[in-house]
Amino acid sequence: MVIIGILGRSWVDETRLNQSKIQNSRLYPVIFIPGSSATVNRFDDLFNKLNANPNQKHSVLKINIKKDGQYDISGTIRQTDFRPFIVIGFENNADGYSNIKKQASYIDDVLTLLQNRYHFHHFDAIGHSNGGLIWTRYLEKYFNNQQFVMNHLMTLGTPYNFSETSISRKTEMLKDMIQGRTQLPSNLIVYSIAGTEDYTDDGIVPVQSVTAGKYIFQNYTQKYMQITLSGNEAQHSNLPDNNEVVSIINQYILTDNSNPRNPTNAPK
Amino acid sequence: MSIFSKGLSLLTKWDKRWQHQPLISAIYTTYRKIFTILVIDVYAHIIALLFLLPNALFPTILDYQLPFYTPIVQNVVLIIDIITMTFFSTLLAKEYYQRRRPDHDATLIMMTMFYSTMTSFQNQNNFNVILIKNYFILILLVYAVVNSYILYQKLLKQPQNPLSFANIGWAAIIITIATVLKPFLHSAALQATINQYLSSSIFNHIPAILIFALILPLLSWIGISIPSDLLVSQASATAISENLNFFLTKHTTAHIPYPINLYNTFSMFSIVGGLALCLLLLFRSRNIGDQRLGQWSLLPSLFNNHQLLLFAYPLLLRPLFLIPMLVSPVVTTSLGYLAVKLHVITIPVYQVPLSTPYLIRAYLATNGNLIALAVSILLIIVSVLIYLPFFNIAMKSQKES
Repeated sequence: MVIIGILGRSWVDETRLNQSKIQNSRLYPVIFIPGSSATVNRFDDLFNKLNANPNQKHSVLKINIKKDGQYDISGTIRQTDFRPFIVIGFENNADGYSNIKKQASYIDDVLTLLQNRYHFHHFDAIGHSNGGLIWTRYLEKYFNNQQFVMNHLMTLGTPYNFSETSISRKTEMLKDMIQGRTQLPSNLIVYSIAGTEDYTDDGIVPVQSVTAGKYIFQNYTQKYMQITLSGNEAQHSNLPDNNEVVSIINQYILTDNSNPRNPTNAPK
Repeated sequence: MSIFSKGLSLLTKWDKRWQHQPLISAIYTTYRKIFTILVIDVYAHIIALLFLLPNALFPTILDYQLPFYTPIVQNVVLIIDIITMTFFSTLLAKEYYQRRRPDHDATLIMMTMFYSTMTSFQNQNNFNVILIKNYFILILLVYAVVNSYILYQKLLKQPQNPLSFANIGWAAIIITIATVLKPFLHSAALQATINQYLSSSIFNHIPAILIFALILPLLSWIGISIPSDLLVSQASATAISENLNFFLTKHTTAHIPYPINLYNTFSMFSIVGGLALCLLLLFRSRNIGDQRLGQWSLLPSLFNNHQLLLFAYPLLLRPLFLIPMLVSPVVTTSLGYLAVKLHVITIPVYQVPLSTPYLIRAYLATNGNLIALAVSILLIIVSVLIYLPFFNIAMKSQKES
């Protein structure tokens, strides 16, 4: 008992400053960013499908970042829900590289705010279309691995080379992202999902632009997996509620509890 | 004679009579018979929670991880649990049946109960077995199975070979019913309901905390054992986190967001009853069997596992010990609450590792407040005093019998 007391005291003392994070890291949210022209409600259908299992209801929190950087929060994170969904959307949801840069800097601010409020250390990220670009920019420019652990990033129909159909014509954004890839967290697992309505694109984004993601992530993250979906539901706007995507999210994101302090990994 | 003495005397008589009921007597005999398996089961849990699991006590404070794959450890513990509970139900069916029908063959009853129990546990998730060791359901199941068999025998009118077609048919129906009922027994709805109640902010108020302190031992008393640590950490996750953040930024506990919550009252100061009884067995009982039980129970009791005492002493379903089991956590939680409220000790804000012994919990959670340690020792003494009159009665009736 004395030994446990001494060692325990030392542990409490050592972890005093970090204990908040240890506590907080029980919460392991999945954070979603919609694409251009979309609002925070973009993933509602996806959430309905993911929440169809009554034993795995995820609470939803939505943050709408206004043009001046202020934000509105709606929804709540249920106290016993350790895998909530958080959507970060933008009032200024216009397309374009300059806006993506601005949005990525807002993401950094909002994540810090969320961490202070909800106390989490680990999270997974999902981005639809430009949402994936915002995540990539954030990872390369703002991500601090002392502050957060991002275990998985899943991008849905993300145009890493905008509307270019050939990798020989790299956009400024792709060049920047390839240059910044050394800053990516090496423990990150990336899934890039491409939709193919026909053999060339998902109706909006060329497949080649989606697969250009490999030049950014491959060999710079722990794992990079490219998944191509086809069929009627593989149209760019349908990707978030595509049943295959729902299965993939369930399989690769929601059932993978890489957060060691996640309660599902705790001793039973 | 005071009302208290009269009450105790009445309770003693009732307790004695109760223990001679066929089902109750069969339960106690069964637990005595499976004592060795119970010891293995309890110690398997203790070893896993102290040394083997990723957030066990020693891996946490010494910052090491054994090269064990967590699911392997969990599955081994789960298998030991299932073996223990299957042994229990099978032997209980035999003991109970033989008390009801002394000269009858219990083979079929035992086999039926064995398969029914195994069927009930098959493919279930860990929550039901490891988190909730539900002996209560097993006891009800044995009661129903044995009585249905006796009734069936009466309906048959003429004695049958235990393994006759008629009897095998009955066994098949029972096993089928157990299979059909399995999803209801292990419904995730229970977990969802518990989660729903736990997420309520009501547990940041002392009346709800005291009700919690009453319900948990009551559930243990009827055979539903729920580890309080996991429930409390789930219910108070936000409170613990926000309190700690507040304290680390403001360096004071004045105006702390959750001055009272399950963690800093119930989890710090309650359920020292098992330890109290263990100490009484060790230092007050002259019975060698009791002392041996006290020795076996000391380590688990220190780490808040009271199952050996619950089943082998026994406390389970025993009227005499219901009062101290309920009173001890309520009184110790209230005293701990008063100690915090009156600023005798600082508010425990730090989270302690899982399975930290109760004795040093408050000491660690206050980051080394010696008064908190003294309060914890005092509360164990209080708990011993609560158990003492009931323990004396139990010792006396043990001598008489």
